[in-house]
Amino acid sequence: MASATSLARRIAPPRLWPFLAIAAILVVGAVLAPLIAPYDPNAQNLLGRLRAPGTEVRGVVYWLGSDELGRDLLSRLIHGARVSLTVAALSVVASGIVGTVLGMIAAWYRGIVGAIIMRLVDIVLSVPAILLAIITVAIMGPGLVNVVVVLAFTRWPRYARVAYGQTLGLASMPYVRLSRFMGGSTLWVLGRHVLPNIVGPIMVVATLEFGLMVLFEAGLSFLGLGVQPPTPSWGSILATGRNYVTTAWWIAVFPGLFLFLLVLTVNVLGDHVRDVVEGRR
Amino acid sequence: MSAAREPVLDVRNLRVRIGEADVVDGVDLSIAPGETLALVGESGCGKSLTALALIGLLPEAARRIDGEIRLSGERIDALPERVMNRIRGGRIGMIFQEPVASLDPLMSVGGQIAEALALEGPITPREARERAIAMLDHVGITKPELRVDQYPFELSGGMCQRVMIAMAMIRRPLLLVADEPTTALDVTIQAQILRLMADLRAETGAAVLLITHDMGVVAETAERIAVMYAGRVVETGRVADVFAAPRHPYTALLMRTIPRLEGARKVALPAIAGSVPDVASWPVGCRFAPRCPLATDRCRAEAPPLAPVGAPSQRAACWHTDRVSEIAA
Repeated sequence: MASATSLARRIAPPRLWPFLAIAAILVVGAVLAPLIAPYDPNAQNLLGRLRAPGTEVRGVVYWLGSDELGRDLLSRLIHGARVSLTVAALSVVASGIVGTVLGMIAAWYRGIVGAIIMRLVDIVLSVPAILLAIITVAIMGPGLVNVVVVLAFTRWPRYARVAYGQTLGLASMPYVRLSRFMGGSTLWVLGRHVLPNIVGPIMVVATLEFGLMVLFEAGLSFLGLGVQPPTPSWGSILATGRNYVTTAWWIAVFPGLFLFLLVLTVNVLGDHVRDVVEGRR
Repeated sequence: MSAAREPVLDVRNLRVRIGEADVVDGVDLSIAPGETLALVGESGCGKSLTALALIGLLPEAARRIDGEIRLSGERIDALPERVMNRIRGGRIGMIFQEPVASLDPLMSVGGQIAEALALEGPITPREARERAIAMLDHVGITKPELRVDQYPFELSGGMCQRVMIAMAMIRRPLLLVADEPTTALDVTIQAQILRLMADLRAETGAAVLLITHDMGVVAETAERIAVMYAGRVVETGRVADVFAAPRHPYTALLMRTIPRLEGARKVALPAIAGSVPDVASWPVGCRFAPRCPLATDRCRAEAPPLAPVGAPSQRAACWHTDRVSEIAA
């Protein structure tokens, strides 16, 4: 029998604690941004432009420096975490739902329905995601909501493939056949027996995709196609920083560092989720 | 009830086709209330496809191209899927071969039994749980109020099969279709499960279609037997009559393969030479002819009909029913 402590260690072994701490800090920071950010992220101060980290200007301390409009970089990064995490979370949820549902349907009905869905998967996967995203944003216009829609639209095939393969395997399981035998409708069987049994592998894809979504959002914002100014986003701050990289390195370095830490953390945790899920089977 | 009572299941001329071949080729079956019919044969003889065709759940590649199926007199072979869904699980119960794999690993035992009830009609979770506990108790599971919340991995194979039986019987079906229900179990557990099925059958009056390749199981549980070979019923009758004097060479040879306690030791167990031919190469005449010690030119040219022979209940499809006693054990 596994005791409570050994179970806890299996779910969250000590080597993951630093990453869990980073994840917790980022999430709490994003949620409580207005409370913990030292200043208004959009407050400009033309006397305090491009100040180095630690500079104090008229009682305002720029812990991580200031940008070209004298806005506090730390405050902007804390608020930017909201955008990064929200966009990543929403797009993972949206693409995960769409992909899982379509993958299950494809595997359940197979035949013509399955062929159409899975060829669509191939088509979407064969077009570079960032290119597809740029085209879609170009048509629909930039903005936070549109970025989520774009990411959901370009990323669902990953989930669809996993859901398809898993459902195909489950469809021949006796308990799935039995539920169908007892009169369970397609919706009933998929919802009660198939979905719960494929959630593990789907979660693995979702955590790994989450890091990628953070980067995609940053990339789109960097290109000016994502979140629009003055709303702070790590990608757009990074883009501005590029112009000043020789004179004010901190504007580019800190958002880059935050991105690096977030994606690293998500990937390490995602790998762990995969190990736990696969070890369970 | 009289001898003329209506059969629970009555099948006439069932044909199932896969590709170009009729893998079930004109099967007739009939089961009276409270009766167990054993459908016996080697792997690949069509017995499972027959059962799946009866309940309208054939795999995609297979099609039922002919046959009338009546459940308590009512035609069910042409019903729309929606109506069939109500009949399956309600008036027909099913037990699969692999008891552990037949339970959803992520759903509690009570949840799965409740599912059978929920598919019948609206039911409160509390009532479903109570009925599940009562049914678990009924199928001989100890501490049912504890087991009801356990998951399949916490149960033994025999207990899983009891849960399966509980799921199949909780809606009091007229017909229970059991596909190799004891094959995956230990011999001692097999006997318990067979006894449980017999008890429930006696109590509810359900008819049982038992699919098996185990002649020992047939002898213990069934009243009547239908022996299938290569998609056809080759012999049928009361188990006692058929076992006493089989009238088809295949039945006789199958009986000889049952290991016996008496007699000389260290004698090789008898086997039937060859295997069931591939569907594509079924012979024109009697399909058993290539493996039959009694086969003559007539057998290879002309398929024998299933005709009355021997005991009143007995029918066999063989041209040489009078010579079968030569090869009987």
